[in-house]
Amino acid sequence: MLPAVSLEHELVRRALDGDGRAFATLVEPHLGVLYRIAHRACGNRSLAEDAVQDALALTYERLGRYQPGTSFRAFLAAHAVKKAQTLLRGERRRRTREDASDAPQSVPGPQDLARAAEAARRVQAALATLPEKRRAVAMLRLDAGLSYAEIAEAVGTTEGSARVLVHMALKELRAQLADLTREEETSEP
Amino acid sequence: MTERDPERDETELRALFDRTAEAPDGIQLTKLKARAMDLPGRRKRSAFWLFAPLVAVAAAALGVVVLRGGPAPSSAPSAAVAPPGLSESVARAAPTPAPALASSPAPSAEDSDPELDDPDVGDLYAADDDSSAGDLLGPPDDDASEEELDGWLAATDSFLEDG
Repeated sequence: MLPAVSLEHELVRRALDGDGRAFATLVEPHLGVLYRIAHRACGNRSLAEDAVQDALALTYERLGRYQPGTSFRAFLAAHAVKKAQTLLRGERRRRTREDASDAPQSVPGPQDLARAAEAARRVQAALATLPEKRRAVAMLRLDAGLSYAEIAEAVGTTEGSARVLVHMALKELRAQLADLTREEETSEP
Repeated sequence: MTERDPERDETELRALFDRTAEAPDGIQLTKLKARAMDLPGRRKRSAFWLFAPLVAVAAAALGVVVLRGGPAPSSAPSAAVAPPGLSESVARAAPTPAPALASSPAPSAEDSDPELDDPDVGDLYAADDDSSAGDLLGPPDDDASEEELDGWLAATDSFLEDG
């Protein structure tokens, strides 16, 4: 049996040669994380699917730069976050227009569902207010679950800088979403 | 005022993010995997279409070069092996010897056709061509001797008389 790095190296080589099955095998374990990041950014299922596809296309385009042995999840998540940044900017502009038009907000479904949707919208809005790099590290930490070393790899910085960026991002998010996190605490048994 | 524990903040935020995250269902995962599988092939195809016009232009240019330059080498040997004063009109007037001339290397002294070696006969064949004969055969050179000129005139006259 091939060691993980050799297998990954072989899959990357075959994918670069045009082997679609090899590329799918490489990305399959991470599709859930990619989708989660994309959906966080746009809040729409079909848009999220398209965003994941765009992120995969970008990943494939740059697959030659990937160094086997480093975190492929970080490599992939970095491209997903890049795509999410664009989506979030668009979403923020759209929300500004909607707020300006004073349209009544109506969320269909039971109350719990409505509250969850509202919480998701609040998280999305809070992320959109962060500076680009802090937003990226916040999603990489909280949605992709990357370590500081992996975040550093993904955003092209040192591990120490990644720690500082994450700390600042979480502090800002905590300030904006304090009521939601408190709600989380009180709802826990 | 007490300082908040960053680890606790992170745990709370992580719980909030997990609660508000959307996970793909089985159908979506299958769809995404299929799209991923299609990507390398699509890249190859798009690369092909990107370079296809260049390849087509290059192929067309090569085709033109081959078509223009192609017949020259094949006709050159037949002209080269033809005895002086003999042109493609020979092939038309005397179809039997012509293919042999065109396809065989330059005839040696032993196997050359004595009839074709005769300058008069050559001239007669050449005169049969009404378009290019004059250019190809023409009268003897300016520096030809009187005897050569007379011979040429006599051969021409006799051909015209014979029809």
